Amino acid sequence: MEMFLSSLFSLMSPGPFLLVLIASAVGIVLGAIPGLSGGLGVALMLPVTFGMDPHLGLAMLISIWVGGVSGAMVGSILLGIPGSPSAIATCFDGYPMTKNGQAVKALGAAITASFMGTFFSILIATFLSPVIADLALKLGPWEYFSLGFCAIALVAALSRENVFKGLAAAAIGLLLSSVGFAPIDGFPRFAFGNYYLNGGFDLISLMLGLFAIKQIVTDYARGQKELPPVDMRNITGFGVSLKEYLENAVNLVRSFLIGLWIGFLPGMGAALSNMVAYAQAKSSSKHPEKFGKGCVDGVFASEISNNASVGGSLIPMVALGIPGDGTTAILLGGLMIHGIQPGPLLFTNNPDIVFTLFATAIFAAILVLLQQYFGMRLFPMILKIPYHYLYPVIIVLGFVGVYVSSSTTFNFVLLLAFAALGFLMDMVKLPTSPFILSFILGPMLELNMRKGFTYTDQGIWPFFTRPISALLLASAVLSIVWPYIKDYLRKHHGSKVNR
Amino acid sequence: MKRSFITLLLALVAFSLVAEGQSDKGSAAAWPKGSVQFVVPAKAGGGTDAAARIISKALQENLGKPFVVVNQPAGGGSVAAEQVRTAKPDGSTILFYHTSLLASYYAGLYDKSPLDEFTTCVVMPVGGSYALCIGPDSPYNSVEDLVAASKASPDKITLGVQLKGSSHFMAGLLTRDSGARFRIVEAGSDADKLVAVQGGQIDAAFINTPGALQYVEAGKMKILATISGMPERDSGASNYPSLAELGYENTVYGLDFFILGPKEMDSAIAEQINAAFKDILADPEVIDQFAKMRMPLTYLGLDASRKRLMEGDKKIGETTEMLGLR
Amino acid sequence: MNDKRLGFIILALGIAGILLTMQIPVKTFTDDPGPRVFPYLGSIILVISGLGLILTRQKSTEDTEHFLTREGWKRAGIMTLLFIIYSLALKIVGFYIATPVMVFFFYRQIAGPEKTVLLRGIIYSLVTFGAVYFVFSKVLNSFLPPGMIF
Repeated sequence: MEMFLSSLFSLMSPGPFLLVLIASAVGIVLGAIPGLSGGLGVALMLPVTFGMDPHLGLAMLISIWVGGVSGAMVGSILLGIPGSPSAIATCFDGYPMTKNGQAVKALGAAITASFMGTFFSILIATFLSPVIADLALKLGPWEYFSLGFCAIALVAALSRENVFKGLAAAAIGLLLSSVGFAPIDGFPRFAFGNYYLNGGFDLISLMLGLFAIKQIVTDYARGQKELPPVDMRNITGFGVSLKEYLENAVNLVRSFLIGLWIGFLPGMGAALSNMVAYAQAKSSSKHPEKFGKGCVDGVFASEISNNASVGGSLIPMVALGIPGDGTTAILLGGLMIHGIQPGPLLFTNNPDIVFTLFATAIFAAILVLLQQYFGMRLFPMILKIPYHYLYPVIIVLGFVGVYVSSSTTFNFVLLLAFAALGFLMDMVKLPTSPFILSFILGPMLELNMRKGFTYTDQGIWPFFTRPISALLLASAVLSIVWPYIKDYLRKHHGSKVNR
Repeated sequence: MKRSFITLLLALVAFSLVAEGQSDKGSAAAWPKGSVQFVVPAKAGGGTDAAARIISKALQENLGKPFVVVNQPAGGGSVAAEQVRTAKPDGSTILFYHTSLLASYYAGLYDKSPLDEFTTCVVMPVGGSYALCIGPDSPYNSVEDLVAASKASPDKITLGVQLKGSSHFMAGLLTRDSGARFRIVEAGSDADKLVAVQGGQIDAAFINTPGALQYVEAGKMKILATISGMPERDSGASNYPSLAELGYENTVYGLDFFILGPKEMDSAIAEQINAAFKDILADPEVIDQFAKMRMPLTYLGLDASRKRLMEGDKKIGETTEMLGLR
Repeated sequence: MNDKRLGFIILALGIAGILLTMQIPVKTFTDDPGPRVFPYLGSIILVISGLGLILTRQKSTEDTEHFLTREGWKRAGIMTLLFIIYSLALKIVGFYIATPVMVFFFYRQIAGPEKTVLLRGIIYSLVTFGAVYFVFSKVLNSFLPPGMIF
């Protein structure tokens, strides 16, 4: 405990303080720019830390990461263009809120939710890592598959208005995700001999094409000239009333837990948690029809969960030396390079490193909160920039972002192709969330399904006999069927009353 | 409308002509001319990636030009390899990887021979080893026990590998030498295997030794033996016998790191790359960093490198056939 | 596009998926269901969804307004063309030329003839190009599309 506090205090001295401040600011910017993310920033800055003291180096990297996850929502809310996959779901309600003139409120909700997510998840990680970490080991491919299945079922269950369109969108996502090397056997599927496709479709190209490019084309085609003015009156503090926080208490806690849990699972992180939390928030809400039109609940759900994944991912990283998501994998590499061997003995051998990680993360979260608070009234100024100045910059950043993350110009083709796909889907009103979710989850689902079959000679049974897996599958089925049961019961009950 | 498009095209053409007239089409001049892309077929954060970053940073400091690590893990290295193979042969795009690319080639994941379709610049044998690991509560105490159990219940004892990668080869060699009847399953990267073994989802796995040691110290895993490119036991893990010394004489498999460039690359450039590596591998700081990671690297000159790669290629080719993986 | 037609298209896609998947060779170890299962699954779901759309009558939400007017389609087409040109330009002549030129044209196209100010446009293009170049190339040390010609 004292070690934690002493790490925290050492951050207060001018050198480290400035480092965390600047690094987190950089992270916010990187997160906000579509095509870049905090994770990329960490990867790029990693070599810079080689010559630094490991504590400072780690502090810098963590700050960039925290900033990045919190900053991604800026684009999502103000422009409908997510800064990185961790804030895709924030678009769904954040952008409509901006169109309703409530940009500041959306930002305020996102900022506070982000802070809560990071802060509490790090606290939990700090004190409970060794205890919880062993849980990660109990989960095998069966559980992972069932988890993914459950997530998709949730989102499919959302499109109750037209189940078939939701399913079709999810199926398209699944099929597109199978392009490329199949897991395990490595056969290049659907690649038609084109070696660029062997690696499958790149997520960044998909995201930018589907959101940024498509958005720009659509807006221009519709002749969108200006966004409605932002409602700046009655904005006190973060622009969100206490009442709204209280109303969303359950939503916030639940989304937090989802984010913490998904971050905790090795290999899955913020990109997934924001969508799942949003989907769950919508399906558990008393007014699901408001989602997608500018309901602050959606923003809360998405933003608290993606930040909760930060703390979640740190747990297995610190306690077991196993990365909780892509960015923690890079951090682990960083530790290795500094001569610190990650693993279960990290706590015992290098407790100072561990506490630096946690203390910096919390500190960065606080600084990000403050920076974003001041930025909150400035960010919407972006909306005042005329489109003919704003959009070309975004376009360039988008293309550069695609190139930087993949180093191949072929992905420009993908970028445009996905924009076209998104355009078509909008035309026929196929929903994007099941599509994106299945696309992201597809490979993981297939890998674990097939692994699950091979690990034992009992074929499909372990999926149902292992308790956690069975539970997840049951919840998946239930979440699809429940609304129909509810409707049926209500009608039945209603008719009874009428008699 | 039409007019503006014509203007646009003219502008582009004009610009390119002007710029082209000023471009420098130098021949095998000093390397590196500008930034260098270090293409690495590994996910960010693993051992290979860490090594690549240390090296690229050292090169950057010594040569004064930016060296950018590009991660491209798809397809057992094939996508990254193709990227380098089809790149401009001026040394601005080079591949950093290890000999499991040869395994990928022979096992059918990649269809171009790393030996013949690329220019070998430098090969660096890596010290260290892989370990045969089992869970903490596993009833087995020696490789013999494990093998015997697998023979008693064939196709039940799971051995985790990365299919068509180095660990798969190691498993194959052990199987051949011992006659064991393991159930060989895909268990992902070293990190994934660590989780699977500790969690009891698989019975055993080949995991890189430095990574595994900490878990053993913490009581979460057991190591039965090690395997490396040499039959002797790993000096960094001297408590554990090597599989070769236990009697499985052909179970020897090690990794070499290498740098490959496109085939048409000038040999002068290859020499310069090789020389650059000689410098950094002699740098005490670099040596220290790799020692801390328990991955000591040895430098080989250009001819020695080429020879070593040929030997490795031959051996892996033979092993693949022997294992029936072709 | 009404739902029935969409249903047919989706059905067709699903069937195409199944046909393509059948061409994937199967070489599996130990009880592995193989590389075909997953694409089959996706294709089958498509088929089911397609059939569902064709056969059921869903409440049509009031969206009688057209997706885009004719004018809108024309504009979408122009913007798309610009994107395609930019992509090709990046590939062929590289970032350093493609970006300043295209940024200017994007600016001009979005601003429309009335709002375009030639000088401002040129300055803006150069500044944008310079800023992105600086941040990415110098600060972040990353590569920018080099172009094939040189």
